[in-house]
Amino acid sequence: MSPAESPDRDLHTVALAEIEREEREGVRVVTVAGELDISNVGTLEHATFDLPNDALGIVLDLTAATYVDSATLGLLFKLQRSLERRGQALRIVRAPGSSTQRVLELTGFERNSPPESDRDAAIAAIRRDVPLSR
Amino acid sequence: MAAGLRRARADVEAEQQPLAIARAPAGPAPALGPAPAADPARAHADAHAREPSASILLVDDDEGGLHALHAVLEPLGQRLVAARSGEQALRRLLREEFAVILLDVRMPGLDGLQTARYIKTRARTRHIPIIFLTAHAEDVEHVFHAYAAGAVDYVVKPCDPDVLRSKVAVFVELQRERAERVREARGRAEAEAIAGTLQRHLLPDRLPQAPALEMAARYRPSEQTAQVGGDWYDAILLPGGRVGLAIGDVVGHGVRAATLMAELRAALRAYAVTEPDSPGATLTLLNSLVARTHGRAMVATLLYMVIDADRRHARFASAGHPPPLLLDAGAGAARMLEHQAVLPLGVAEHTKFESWETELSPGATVLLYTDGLVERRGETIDTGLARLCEALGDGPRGLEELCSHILTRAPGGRGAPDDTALLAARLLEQPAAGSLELDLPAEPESVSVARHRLERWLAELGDGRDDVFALKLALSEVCANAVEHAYGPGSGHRFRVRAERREGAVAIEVSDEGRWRAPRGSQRGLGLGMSERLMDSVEIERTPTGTTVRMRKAPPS
Repeated sequence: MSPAESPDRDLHTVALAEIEREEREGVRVVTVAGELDISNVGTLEHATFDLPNDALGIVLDLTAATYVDSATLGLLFKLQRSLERRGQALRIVRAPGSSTQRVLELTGFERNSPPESDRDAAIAAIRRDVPLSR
Repeated sequence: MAAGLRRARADVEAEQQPLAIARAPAGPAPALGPAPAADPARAHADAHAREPSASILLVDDDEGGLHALHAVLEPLGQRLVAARSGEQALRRLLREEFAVILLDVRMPGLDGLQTARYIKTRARTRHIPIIFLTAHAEDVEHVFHAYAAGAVDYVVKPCDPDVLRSKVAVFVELQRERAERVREARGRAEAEAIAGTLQRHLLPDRLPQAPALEMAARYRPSEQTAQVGGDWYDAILLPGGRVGLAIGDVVGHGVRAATLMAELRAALRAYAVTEPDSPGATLTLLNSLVARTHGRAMVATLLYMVIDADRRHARFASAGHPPPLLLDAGAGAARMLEHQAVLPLGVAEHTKFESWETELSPGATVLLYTDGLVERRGETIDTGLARLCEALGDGPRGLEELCSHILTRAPGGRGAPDDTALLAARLLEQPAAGSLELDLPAEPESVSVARHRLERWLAELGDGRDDVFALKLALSEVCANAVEHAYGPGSGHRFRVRAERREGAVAIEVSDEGRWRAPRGSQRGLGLGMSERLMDSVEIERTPTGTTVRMRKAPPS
């Protein structure tokens, strides 16, 4: 077993956060429950890989995220840029007044990411904003 | 060359299946008996197109479905193995390596999604790609969930044979490349070296870090050198901050013992996550799996304990293993944790293992060990146990030092043919009034440990501050800097955290021995900028011998 495959690392990630992804109405929905930091942000990045070209974008549901750090925000900035270049959209669902919201404000991410209060609204917003025939 | 023989072997294996669907691929009739002299040109073409280098697991409760899959995949010339239930598939997976798994979503018993979840939680099988098969439109929603369980693809039945075949072919190719590398490595190793390597890799090279639990472990190989023993231990982080501790002994030596250990460890890791509250239920599942797959060919003792540091209790279950010991902080001698030890694993399929519970006081130490520690020729186990309790009670304070001390007091020399393992865990004591001190390895996993300990410390101070989140975030960011920029992960370095309450304000200091490096990348300084906004003051002191960051925050007015 090489160090990269060490199960301890994965289990640590499992213990810190659960990250799930699903596809809905042409949008990938990634849901995070738990804490995100430099030790497991790679797992979140992984969940955003292989987005099909005809997908409209990504909804990241952070409602159940209890902690996010600057490494997470670094990924969000990066993701937003790369999706924008491809004509796809990123929407972040978070609870108003939550610690996640606070971090988005602190890092200035809030300015270019309109708040979404639930994932259905976020999906609808992407379907409205991203033209189907790109 | 031996392609005919390989096919013949594939047939024999297929016959052991409840449903023998694997037949020799169409084409030239397979040669049975001794391999005919090879025609090099044909052998080359044959090896290229059809040499069965990979196994494909087909899981479907419907015989017709299996036959259809077989017909579609037969032209790939790979070994096809059928399983008619999720349970059967998991058993096959314990025994052999597969390139890809085709998994029907709807099955009685363990359905496809549950089966996938087990496959993906086991370290040994989680890399195997899964293609889900479903005939029902309403399953598609479930299949999307399956992506979360780690599936890579799905196919709606009735499927396009060409599409399915090409999807599978890609994974077969990947597996072929991987197998090549493994074969090269194996060619160089001797059997004993393999066993020794296996065991070393099965024992964690370091224990995971848990927020409120300190852990240490030792393994001493048997002194009869050519033998690899069956002792092993493991520590598993579970949801909710709990930690699962396992120690076990597989009867036997050498490659076989090491392989069985590997199976046990992988299965335990999977079941531990499924049954995080009940060690008894975990062992009941594990025992039933062992008994079904190995009959009586494998006997192993195991003690499994789940420690919940927040609720200050431990639950454990034992399969014929020596009892765990408990040492309260400040107590002179350790005591055995009473329980009924049920049979070892693998003896009887339907054995119910009970969970036993004990409270843990702050600073309490739990010791799990294998019998090499208490067995000495010409002595009863009780004498050995009494000696161990004493050694635990009069040992040094530090957990690492305590483990070394216990080993030196254990029986050794010619009278101790067995290998020995021990695993100790200690609940954190109440932090010294007003201050928190941590010394952590410079790696990403340490960052969450630091912030969880800070949170606990703040809670125990009882100030009721409502800026706990800000303090946690600021500390995490500075720790992440120490890990990422000052050293880089895997350097073997450490960093220190000290938090104090001074006149109502919280002062935090993070120091490392690395040279400060300016944050890199497109988000340079994002974390440090956040800390500056969250705290009243942030000072960075850089010297040739290290970097210290000092932060301070008054209580919110």
